[in-house]
Amino acid sequence: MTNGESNMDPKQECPRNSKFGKIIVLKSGWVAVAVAILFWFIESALHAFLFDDGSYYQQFFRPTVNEIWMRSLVMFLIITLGFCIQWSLKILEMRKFDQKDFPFSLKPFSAISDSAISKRSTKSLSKVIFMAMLSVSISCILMFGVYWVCDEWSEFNDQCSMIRADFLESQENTLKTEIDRAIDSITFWRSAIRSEYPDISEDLLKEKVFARLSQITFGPDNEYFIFVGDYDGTELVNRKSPHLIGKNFWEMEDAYGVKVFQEEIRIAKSRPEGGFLTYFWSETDSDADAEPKLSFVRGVPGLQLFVGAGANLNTVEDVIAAKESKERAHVEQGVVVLCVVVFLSLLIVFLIACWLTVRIRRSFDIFALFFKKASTESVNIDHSQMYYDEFLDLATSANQMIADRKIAEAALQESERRMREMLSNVQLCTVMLDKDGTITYVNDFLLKTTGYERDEILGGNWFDLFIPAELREEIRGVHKEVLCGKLEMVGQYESEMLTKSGERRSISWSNTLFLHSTKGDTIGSTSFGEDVTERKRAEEELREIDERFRLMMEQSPAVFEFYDIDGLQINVNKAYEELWGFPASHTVNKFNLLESKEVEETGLIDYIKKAYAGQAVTVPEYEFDPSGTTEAKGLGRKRWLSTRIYPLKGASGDVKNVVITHEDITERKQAEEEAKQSQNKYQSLVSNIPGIIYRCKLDKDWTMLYISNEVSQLTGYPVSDFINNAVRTYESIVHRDDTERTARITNEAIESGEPWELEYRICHKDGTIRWHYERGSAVIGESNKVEYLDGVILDITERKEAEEALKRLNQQNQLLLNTAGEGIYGLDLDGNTTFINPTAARMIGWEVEEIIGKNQHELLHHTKPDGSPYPAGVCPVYTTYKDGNTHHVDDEVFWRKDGSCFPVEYISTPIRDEHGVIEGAVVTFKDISDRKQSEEKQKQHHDELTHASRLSSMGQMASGLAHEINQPLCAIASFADAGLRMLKSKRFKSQDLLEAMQGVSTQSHRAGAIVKNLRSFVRKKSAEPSVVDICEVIKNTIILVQGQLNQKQAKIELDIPSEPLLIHANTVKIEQVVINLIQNALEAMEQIDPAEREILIKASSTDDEMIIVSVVDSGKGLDGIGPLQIFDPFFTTKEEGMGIGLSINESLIEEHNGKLWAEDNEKGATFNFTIPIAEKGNR
Amino acid sequence: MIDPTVYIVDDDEAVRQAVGLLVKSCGRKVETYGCAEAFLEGYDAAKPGCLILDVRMPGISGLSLQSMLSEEIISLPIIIITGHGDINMAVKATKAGAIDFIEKPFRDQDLLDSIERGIAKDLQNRKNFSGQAEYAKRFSTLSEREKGVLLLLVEGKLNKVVASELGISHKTVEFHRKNVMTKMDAESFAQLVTWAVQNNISE
Repeated sequence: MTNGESNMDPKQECPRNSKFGKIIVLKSGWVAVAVAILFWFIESALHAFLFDDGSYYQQFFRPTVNEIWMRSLVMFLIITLGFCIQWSLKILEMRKFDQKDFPFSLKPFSAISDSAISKRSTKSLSKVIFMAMLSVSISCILMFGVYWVCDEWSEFNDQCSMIRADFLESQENTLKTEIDRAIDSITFWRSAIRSEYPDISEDLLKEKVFARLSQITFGPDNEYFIFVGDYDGTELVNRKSPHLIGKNFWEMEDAYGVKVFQEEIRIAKSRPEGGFLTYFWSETDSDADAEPKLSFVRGVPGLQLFVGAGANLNTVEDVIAAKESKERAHVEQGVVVLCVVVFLSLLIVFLIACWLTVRIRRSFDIFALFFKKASTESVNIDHSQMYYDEFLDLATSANQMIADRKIAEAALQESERRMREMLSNVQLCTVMLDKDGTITYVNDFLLKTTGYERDEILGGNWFDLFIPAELREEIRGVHKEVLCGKLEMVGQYESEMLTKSGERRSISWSNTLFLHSTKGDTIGSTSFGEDVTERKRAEEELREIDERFRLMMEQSPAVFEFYDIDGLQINVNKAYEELWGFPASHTVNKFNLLESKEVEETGLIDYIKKAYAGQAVTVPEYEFDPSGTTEAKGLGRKRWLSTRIYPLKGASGDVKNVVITHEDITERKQAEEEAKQSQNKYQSLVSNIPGIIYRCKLDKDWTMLYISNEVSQLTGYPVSDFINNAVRTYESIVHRDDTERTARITNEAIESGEPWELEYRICHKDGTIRWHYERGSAVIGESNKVEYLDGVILDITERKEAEEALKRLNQQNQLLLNTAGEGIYGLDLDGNTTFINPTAARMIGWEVEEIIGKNQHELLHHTKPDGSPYPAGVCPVYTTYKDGNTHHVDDEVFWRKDGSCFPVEYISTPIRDEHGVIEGAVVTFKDISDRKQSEEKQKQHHDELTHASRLSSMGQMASGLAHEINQPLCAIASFADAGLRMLKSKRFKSQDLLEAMQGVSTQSHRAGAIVKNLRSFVRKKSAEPSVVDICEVIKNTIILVQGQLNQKQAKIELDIPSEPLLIHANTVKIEQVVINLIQNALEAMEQIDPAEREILIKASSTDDEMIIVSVVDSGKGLDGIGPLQIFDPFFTTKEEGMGIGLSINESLIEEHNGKLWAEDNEKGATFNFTIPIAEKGNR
Repeated sequence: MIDPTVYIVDDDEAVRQAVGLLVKSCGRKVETYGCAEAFLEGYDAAKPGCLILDVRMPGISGLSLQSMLSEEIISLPIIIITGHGDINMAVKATKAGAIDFIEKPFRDQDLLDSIERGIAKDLQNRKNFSGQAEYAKRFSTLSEREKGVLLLLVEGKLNKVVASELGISHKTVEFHRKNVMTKMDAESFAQLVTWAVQNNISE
């Protein structure tokens, strides 16, 4: 415990645990001790309070054996638990530090290795373990021993008290029985004696009775007897001590001062059944031998006597004492055994502890040996010699440490080796000096430079050996002061050094470093010196060269400009001033090449940048005006320059400076400019001609003197080929078939002195044939004879090809016209026929020739189908001229030559010239007599079908209509009846009668309207189309189907706008469509609940000039049938339907240029149709 | 007594007006309604009268209205008029208690006769109903013995039989019977029996 405490100082180990709570936890062992002590008090108090079986005092100071044992056990447990917590916490804590924080794990080692051992009173680990085990085992055995002894003792006590109780009870019984019997016998004896001796005196009688009583003995060994006394305290009978008879013992006291006789007389008087009395009585009259006695006393009624008997209680104490001595012997024996066990267990514990400590010790010894060795050499711990995991871990860590140290040492050695190598190889004089200037290290380079051997100078004084005499003392002083810290170290300086041969060398010393030991004292210096003797010499030479070069440059006629790396002009030569005409001071150190705007505008900047990038460049000739620059504003003159720019590179290849040299070429440039201008005039003239211009001699080969550049494009051969006929003559590339002709025409023209024009083919270099146009003329020279031929040659290939294509197209067109199955003819603006194809001519019965040039309208379009004349002004063919549109007509007739006519369909298309101006028209036409007939038939058929469908709708409406007419009829009848009644009764208000008559009238009209609507609906031939309001049509329609709607209990809703939606349509047909759609909707809703039968009719206009009408039902929808399929004729889903309703509807709507389609809505189906909005003009 | 009212329910305004005028011309009070809902809202069940009802109407149909009215304590007599009646409908309506089924257009006399019949029936119904209520009130004033006598008598037993069954004299039975007649304020014994059977008083 103490050991654990001394090793553990929470504040030191873990400064974070400074809180009170943590301290309590860490010291839980001691807290437990306190708690245990507290427990003793509290438990006693609680026991006294709860069970109320004794005072606190008794509980605390005189507890029973069991209580002591229980409390001890609990206290022991509490204390053990506390220390267990404390130690386990400590172990955990140490482990935590081990893992987390490296320095903590090192602490034990440093504690062992350092002087800590001597300073602190530490204990051997083995001893601690031994003590711990010992204390634990001893406490266990002692606990057991105490428990056993306590147990034995309490058992013995119990037995004793039981024996006592038994004994007392038996004694009491015996006494009581005997006394009761004695008293009975007193009475008996008295009467017996009196009957025997009737006149016996009372005293005698008593005497005789007492004599008998004194004979009575009982108890073990018959030693108990009866004694009798009177109430005055006088002893009357006493068998054991007859000498006491007659004496008064009223005041007699026992060993403890109890007045025995008085007590006995009190009991006899007060308790007729008798009572017990315990007292101590000594036979020998000494209080020390007083023995406990028990007596039973009972008064004898009527005699003023008491009879008693006494028993000796000490017999039982003897029994108990015997038992106790036996018990004691047993316990002693037990204790001896316990001692033996303790000794044996101590032995065992000692052995185990020894065994454990030996193993731990061995591990520690290994570690101790290891650490001793580890400081000097690298050793490893053998894992197999370790007994415990902890030591194994420790050994692994230690091995790891050694391995790491080895690596670190190797790295250190390597770096040291490298350092030395570096120092010896470095091309610098390296020397290390100690405080006094003694040389401790020199490298090979220094030896090479000075010519010394290493052995000669190592240990020698640096200043004596190497420093020239005049500097020696000064430098020595400085060195000393620097090392003492009095002077600041000079980073770099140059001084002279003596070699062995006495030669002086300039050395640039640098980086003089101090060497520090671990204590931080200055112990010496290291110097690196560069031999700069040669360099100094070279610098001198360089300076001379430089001077020479500068002179040269200064005198040079060429202009030199020097610029630094930033573009600043740093130097120029004299020629510079001559060139620009202003002093150099204006620009030197002012003008910046890279920032000058003028330079950039002149386009020089790219070249300059190249030069700065390290490239020597020649700048093309250019003109520069210095007066524009800010530095030389208004000065200087414009010059043409030929310029080269060179970069001047440093040793490393970097550009250091840039040199610009100029050559003044202004004069040359001016001369060139003049020559060029004169040439340009002529050149531009020629170059604008889109053809070849040539001049050739009039000789046999037409030797070419000049030919313009175009020739290379037009022929593919270069100009040089033709000049002086160098490679070929121009004639040689003329197509073979044209050669002769061109030559002939040319010659003829020359002879006649006229210019000539030719079109001929040439063979282009790429193999194609080109058409050329040539125009030329002879030039009469000074000799008044034709000397040259001048001419122009143009390429006309494209024109020629276009002409060819046109010709071909004409032929094709003619062929088309002649073979076409339709009649085609053309018209000019006057309406006269310009061409007509044979088919057309045949159809109208004229010959082609007869028609050409004739007015077509008068010829074949003069009369309308109905015989009325057709004015030319409204003829669609001619309208084409006016509006420029194509007109399609299919309801007119053309007239034949023989006066008959035929229905035609024709298309009149305007002909436009290239500017888009109409210059005529082309009419194509077809004889459509057959088609007209079939169309007529189809229409008739369709009308019939439509009518049939209408009748079918009608049939469906009939019953509804009947009801619809029935309503007004019923009303009429009732009104009339009411009126009649009123008239008959002659007692009426005229107001009522008027109402009745009014009703009759209104309802008759209502019925009439229904009938009229119906009739118009059934009519087969419907009226001509007219402009109607679709909303009205829908409302009328609903009147027709109202009956049907009522029958089917369907609701109908209208969603139509208040303003009219006008369409141009046949009312009856649209009505039919709407009725049919409503009927379809009703049929579709037959299967559903009447309350949900709803039809919605919507009408509205759309953005694209249409009116859309939708019939929305809530029936079963399209039910999977394709929205297109339901419009097929004879397709039906109804058992009785013909399947033509919707297909007829579709055709009716299409007749009105509308569309009918079906789609599913949320509930049922929607049928929509569209019809174009009536144009305003048609109204 | 309040004048009986003729209610006309028809969705067709003209018919409604015409029939109304006709009925009015006979001096009857008329109330017309465009649909069943309006009628249910407007009519007073306490007033006597009869109802002329069109079958086909939007919303609640005539037949539905009829079945709704039949659940009332005193159902109005109903005359069905229809524009497109069929036999099925007529049977249905009559079974449901319509007193007549007239097809449009009708002769005025037919309708007026039906109306008179209807009103008479309604008045009778109402009178019966109030008479029964009175009887029930009086019945509660009878003593137990009187009730017992009445019950046995209603079963059709003679005074003699009743007397022997109840163990009382013939005369006493006659006395009780007279008391019952007085207390019930019945005009005749037959009337009492009819009422008793109608109201199932033996239970």
